[in-house]
Amino acid sequence: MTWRSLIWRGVRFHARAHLGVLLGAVIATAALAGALILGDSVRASLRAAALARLGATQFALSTGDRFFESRLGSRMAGPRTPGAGPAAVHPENAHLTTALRLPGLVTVSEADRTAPRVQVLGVDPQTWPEFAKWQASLANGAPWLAGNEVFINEPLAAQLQAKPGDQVLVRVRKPGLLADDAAITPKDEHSVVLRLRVGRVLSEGELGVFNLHSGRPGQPNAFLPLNVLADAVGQTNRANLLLVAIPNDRETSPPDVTTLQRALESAWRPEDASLVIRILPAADSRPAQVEVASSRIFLESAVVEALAPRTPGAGLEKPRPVLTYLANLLQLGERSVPYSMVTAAGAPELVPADLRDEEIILNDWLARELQARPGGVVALSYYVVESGASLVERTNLFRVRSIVPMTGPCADRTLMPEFPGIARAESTHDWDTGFPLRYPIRPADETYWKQYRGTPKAFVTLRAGQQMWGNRFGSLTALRFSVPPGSSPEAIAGTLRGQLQANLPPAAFGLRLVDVRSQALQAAAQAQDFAQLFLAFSFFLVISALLLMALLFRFALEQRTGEVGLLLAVGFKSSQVARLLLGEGLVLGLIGGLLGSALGVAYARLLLLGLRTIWREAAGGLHLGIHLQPITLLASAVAGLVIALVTIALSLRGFTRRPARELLAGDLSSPSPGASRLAWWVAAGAGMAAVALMGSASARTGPAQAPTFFGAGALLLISGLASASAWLSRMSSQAACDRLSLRRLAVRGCGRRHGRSLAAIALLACGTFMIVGPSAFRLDATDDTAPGSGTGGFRLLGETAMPVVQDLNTPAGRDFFNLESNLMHGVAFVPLRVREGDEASCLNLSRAQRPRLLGVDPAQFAGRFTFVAPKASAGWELLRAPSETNSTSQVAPLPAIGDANAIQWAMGKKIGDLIDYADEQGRPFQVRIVGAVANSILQGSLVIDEAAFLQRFPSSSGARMFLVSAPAGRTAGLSTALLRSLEDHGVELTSTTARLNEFNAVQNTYLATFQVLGGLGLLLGSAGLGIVVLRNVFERRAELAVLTAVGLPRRTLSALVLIEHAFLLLAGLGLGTVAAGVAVLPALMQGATSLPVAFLSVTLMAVLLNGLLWTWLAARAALRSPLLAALRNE
Amino acid sequence: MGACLKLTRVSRQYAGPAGGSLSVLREIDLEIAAGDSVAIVGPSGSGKSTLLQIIGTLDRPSGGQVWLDGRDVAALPEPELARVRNQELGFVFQAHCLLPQCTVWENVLVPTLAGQARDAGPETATARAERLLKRVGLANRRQHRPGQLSGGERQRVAVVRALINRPGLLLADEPTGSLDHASAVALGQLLLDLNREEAVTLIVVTHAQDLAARMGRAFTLTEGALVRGLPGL
Repeated sequence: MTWRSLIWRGVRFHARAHLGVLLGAVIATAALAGALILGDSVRASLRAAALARLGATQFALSTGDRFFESRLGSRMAGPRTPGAGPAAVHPENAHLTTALRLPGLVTVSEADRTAPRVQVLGVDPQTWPEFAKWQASLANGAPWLAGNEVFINEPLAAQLQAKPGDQVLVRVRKPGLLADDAAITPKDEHSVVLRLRVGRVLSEGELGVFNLHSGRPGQPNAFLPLNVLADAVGQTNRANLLLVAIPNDRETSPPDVTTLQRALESAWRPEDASLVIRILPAADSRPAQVEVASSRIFLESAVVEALAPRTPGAGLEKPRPVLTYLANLLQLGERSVPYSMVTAAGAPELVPADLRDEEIILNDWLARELQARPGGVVALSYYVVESGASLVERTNLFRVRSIVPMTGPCADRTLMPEFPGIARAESTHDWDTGFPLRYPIRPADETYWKQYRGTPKAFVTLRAGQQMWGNRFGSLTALRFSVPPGSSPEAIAGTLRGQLQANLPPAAFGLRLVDVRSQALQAAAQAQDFAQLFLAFSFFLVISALLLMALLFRFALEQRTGEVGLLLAVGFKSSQVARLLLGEGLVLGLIGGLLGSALGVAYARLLLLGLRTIWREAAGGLHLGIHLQPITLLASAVAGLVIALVTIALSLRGFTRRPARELLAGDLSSPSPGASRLAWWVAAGAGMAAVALMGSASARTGPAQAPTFFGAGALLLISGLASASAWLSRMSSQAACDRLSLRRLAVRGCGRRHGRSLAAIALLACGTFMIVGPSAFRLDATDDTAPGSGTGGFRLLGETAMPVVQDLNTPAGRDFFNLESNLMHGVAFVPLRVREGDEASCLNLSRAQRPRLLGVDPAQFAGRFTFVAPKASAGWELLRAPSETNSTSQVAPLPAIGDANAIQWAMGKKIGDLIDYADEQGRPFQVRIVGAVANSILQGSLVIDEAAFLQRFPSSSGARMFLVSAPAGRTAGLSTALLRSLEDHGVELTSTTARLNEFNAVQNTYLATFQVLGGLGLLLGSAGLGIVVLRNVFERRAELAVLTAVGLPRRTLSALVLIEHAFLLLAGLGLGTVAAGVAVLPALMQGATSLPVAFLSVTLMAVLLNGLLWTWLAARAALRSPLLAALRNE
Repeated sequence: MGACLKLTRVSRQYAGPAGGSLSVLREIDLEIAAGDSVAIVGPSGSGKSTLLQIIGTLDRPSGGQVWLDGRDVAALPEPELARVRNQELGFVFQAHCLLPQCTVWENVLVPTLAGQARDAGPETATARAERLLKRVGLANRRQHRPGQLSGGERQRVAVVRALINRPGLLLADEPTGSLDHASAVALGQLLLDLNREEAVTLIVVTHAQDLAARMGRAFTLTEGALVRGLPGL
């Protein structure tokens, strides 16, 4: 005889009694395992989604609105150029491909179906098919992407209901040389349209879902040949995306991002940064020069610094800075000349060193036209460069210093940069400017243009010019270098090229490789932990199963009191008996853990099915598949074993410490009167606290009420349960009464097994509260008028594929889009600039590493939304306040404000936290979260000050998001008009309440999930009640037999049992419902439509009926057996 | 031969329903020598079982001392009492209290699992179990379960279980109470035989006058006091 055999004998002999215990362990373990498997599955699905959107991509270089030569990739992978620094990346070590990525919209030409925000990718026909694994599906070397073809991905095909062979119109944003909101950028040709035939629908495995940023799945993509797209948008041989894949089959160690960046630094050329080095041959009295300019018009400060003389005698003389810009009007008295180039220069041959900032030099032609003489005052009017579509005109006065002839260095047409729409025009009539030509162009002006083109007509000091025209893009249009004696222009050009390559990091132009794969995998790994979430959701189910298990184990123990008493009587210590029983529990836990883990797989499948169907909002559209990990199954089994053991240990507590004689006599005594008194005190205390809490909560308004009322409900529940405990104790020890009724007898019965009755009431009450109570936190956005609401008081939210540069609040902007003034009366727009990033909302399950940034003028948001932190908030003005300087970077982080939920859950951050970004020039900067607003439409992004936004991202063109406030009843008409007018911009309009409810749906779905799983737990609890009934009745069969013997009919006995247990059922449900009613009081008072009254009613009714059914079945089963036999046994 | 058991002014009171106390045993003095066989009789509710439980350390007296082999066991802590019950005492109950899940053999050996064995002596527990089962005529039933035995057989198994750890004192609480007359007579004789053969002191609480009469000494418990002799004799 050994301990092991004794334990095993016990398990086998009491197998039937243990079956229920085992069932509890299995259910609890299955719930745990299901949640853990679900967590694994979501993580694996997110990882799969992250890898699917990146394909083989490990590193990416994305320059947005800046373009580099499409050969950059082949140069990086090509043979090493002598003197070009470190060796290029060997093609065996890295596969590179370049692409042009632009926002666009796609329309099925024969139907009225449009996909508004499509990522249009021009891909390299040489490298992309291998990179994207198209070759496998394009059998026999079939030609892909003929010039008139477009490949679309599955989400786009579904959106358009398009198939191969369909004709589509692809409208793509045509990027300007400067940002679209620069005054001189043409506004009319912001997009081009291509009519193409759908060649294929690309699957996920063919990199159809390519996306650099994590976000909601289903990004619509269209693929066409790089050259076709580049030619169409005027970016021939240029690209803005470079992808690097690291092949798995290489033999050498893979290159890291540093190695690749070094290769990039070796391979890049000034042309990749839109820099132009050109030789200006000697002309007139000007000697030959070499000029460094930019096809983006303005030279960035980094370029100017890179070319600043560092080592005297290096072959370069001090550069001559030039800034040439367009003056709208030059006026002297009544005479004026429109649209003239004016040069500000630091070159002595153009501007004498002693020219003062308020002086101007005119050329002979202009002087004649204005009849100007030295000393006269000329008014120079110009558009502020960054005034965008609002075209702010300013005028400066200059005194004429001198007049220069139409020959010599000042008569230099090359001083005019390549202004878009102007520089290449044959005639002034062909000018395509970004502004209306308000001043009439005279025949003389046309003649000048034909003869001299953009030869500047006037000259001012560099400082005067930069004060007028300096801007976020730069403050020079060229740097000119003279050719010293003994050198040649070609040699100087070569030196400049070398100096640029040596002194300028390509990252300064956004040419910076990022390890996007690691970021994506990190985002997936740090994603919303569904295991934790569903463990919480399954909490009540687990607790119910464990309570059931504890109850059944206790019942089994009660049947074995004699056995335990005997063991104690023969000399076993109570700890040894406990160990023996725990040993049986260990066996049960082991079996339960193993079976539960297996059942957990089925439970996880069920949960996944739920997430794909009824709870799909919580999955953010992610394609979910089951992912089983042996370690998780093992962990679940162990966890199941541990909780089973703990539960059994708790139910054993005190049992084996009872005296052996009591156990041998089967005497399990009732609670002490002291416990009853304590229960009354607890009831009174918790009740008073609940009332006080409700009183304090009624003084508050809005969402702040919900947690307080929930707390009051919970206290009321505690008070109710304590009252029930005290009452049951009283019932069990009440003195005899004079009149005995059936009801009184039933009530006495409830107090007979005080603990058991209280457990049944508590299980049902807590379950009811847990299911009904969370309804208080359901969110339902209906208010789109209150500025403090989550909609900010805006009615509509618009997002466009192509930026809107016009100010829609001005008559000019509205005219541009043909928006009727009647309709627009009282309508206001808040434009937001968008820097693409990770979607930081609950709709994206991945952790947002670098959330999308929105730039807004803080004044436009004043008084809108409700700040939850900091409490005493300066509101949106916080965005303007310079944040504390970061000790490491010495660059003050940018203040940012976001949605509180998004900050906490989607970003995993809190107030004061920093997030790293890189600006357009590759310089790192940080954003500090300084404020959070409550439950708002701002989920998904962080908001920063527009001015700071433009400093970091000067190429940003206009707004791609806008919020619209409008008078009541105007929303529908306004939506129609905006959709029509902004159709070519790929507009998508959503009502703000609908958008907010999209976010709310996630939280509401979580609550619904909790309630459904809690409902299962409650049903389990009501089944537990049935077991209690069965046990009670069987225990009392002799007592019932006596009642039969004294003449009570069976029907009366049934009624007795039913009354007794229905009382427990109703007490539990009633207590839980009243407490939950208090918790949801604010929602009820506000008439929230989201309260799932039908679901809750059905659940509670199901629990009531289920409990009654079990009670009836148990009573019937017990009373059908011959009761008098029980009497004989007694 | 010295006293194996000595009770000095042992009393036991229970709290009454109306706040008073109910005195079951009143200053009982009793001395039993090693190897004696003693019967205690008395009407139902007289406190016989309470007295036996106090002697068997399953209950503690409200007053007085219980000397077992020269030690006051009433003052011992619970873990030590468990050892005393396991090694120095053997119990036979009216309800045989066998473990239904175990065989006869296993039931007999259950006390050895408590792991408090003193010096096992020349005879191992299994050898002793084998010998005693043979002695009580159950050698061929060792693989049977309690449910497969008659009432008398179950009680004999309980007797062997009580003797397995070679206790000095065997306590039997109404051992024949649930047996038919023939089985009761046989069990009584067995207990007396074992009292002699195993040199174990025997105390039997019983209603059966004939069994009590066969013991070396008999006492009657009436109104909490112990009186030498059987009622009516």
